[in-house]
Amino acid sequence: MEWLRRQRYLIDYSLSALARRPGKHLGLLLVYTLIVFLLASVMLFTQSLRREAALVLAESPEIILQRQVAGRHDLMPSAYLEKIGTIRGVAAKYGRLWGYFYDPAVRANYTLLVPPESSTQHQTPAPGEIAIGAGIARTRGLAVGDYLSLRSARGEPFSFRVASILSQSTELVSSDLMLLSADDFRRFFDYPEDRVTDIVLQVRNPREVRKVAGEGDASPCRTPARSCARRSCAPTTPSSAGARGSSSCCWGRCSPSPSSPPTAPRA
Amino acid sequence: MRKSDLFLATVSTASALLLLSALDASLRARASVEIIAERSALVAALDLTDLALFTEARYTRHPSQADLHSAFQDHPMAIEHFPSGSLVPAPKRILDLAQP
Repeated sequence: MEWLRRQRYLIDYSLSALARRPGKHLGLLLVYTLIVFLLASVMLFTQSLRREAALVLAESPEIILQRQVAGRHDLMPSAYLEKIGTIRGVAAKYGRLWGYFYDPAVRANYTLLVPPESSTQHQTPAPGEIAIGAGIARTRGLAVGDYLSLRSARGEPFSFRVASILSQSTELVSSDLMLLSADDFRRFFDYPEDRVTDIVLQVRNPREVRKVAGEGDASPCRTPARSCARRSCAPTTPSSAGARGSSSCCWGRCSPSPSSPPTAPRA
Repeated sequence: MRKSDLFLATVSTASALLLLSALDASLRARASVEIIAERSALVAALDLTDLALFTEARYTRHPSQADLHSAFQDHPMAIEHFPSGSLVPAPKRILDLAQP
């Protein structure tokens, strides 16, 4: 009790001393409070995003093969799927079709994506129809049954009927998504029939991902390429955080073709 | 009322509120299990790779899919075009590749 009484006297004395210059000390208290508030908010928000990304992106593809020409991404020939052959440990391999579209009406980019054929949860929209993320629906004021008109790569107007809107609770990963059929995607972007955006390799055993990624790089695709292996990356950005987002890249060890000089990425 | 009483009451109230916020976070985490499962299912179904945090540049929309050159696509010394580029660094594995 004696100790507590002494502490209270000390607090009384300290507060009386601080109250002699109330403006200065209240200002300091306000500044310190704001600094702690800002730093704590940023740290908590960043940490929550990292954790969310680690949980949500755990199911993203194990390995993604991309093609590079002169230091820039290039479309991947579909024939590479067969040329890559059967790599031991790979459960499935298929090409992805996706890209970006800048909508001048809202000054924002959409991510146009063709759902993989293996997707059972999200059926590929019928020709002329799209499924959009909640962010696009909100920004453009769209509802199911409305039409969205965009200008295609050839400058022609392209009308899509909104068949469905992705769940608002998945907006963190789907806000700007626009799902459409492969035919619509190719016609809209004037996309070559024999090309895909990149190639997905699914690996059953997580411990084999790095080895398979190495074999994917060394496959006879005869082009500078890189593979992004999901399970071997370190947490970095909010989006690829938590050691699960696909960000680990084993840069190309493919033999460059005579017509395309090696373009190994540099710092 | 002594000043120390007022001070101790303020500190006690703030501590109680901090504990309540931690409790609230814990309860919300349990409630959000279904939402996370739904997002995870969408990622698996559509082969998504990144969170849709920023849409203005491809290296901030899909940092895991961009290459080392994307932020400097116009010129090696080009100034960053997009504000979000200063908020989303390149993935650590790519930055590690830049180390000698």
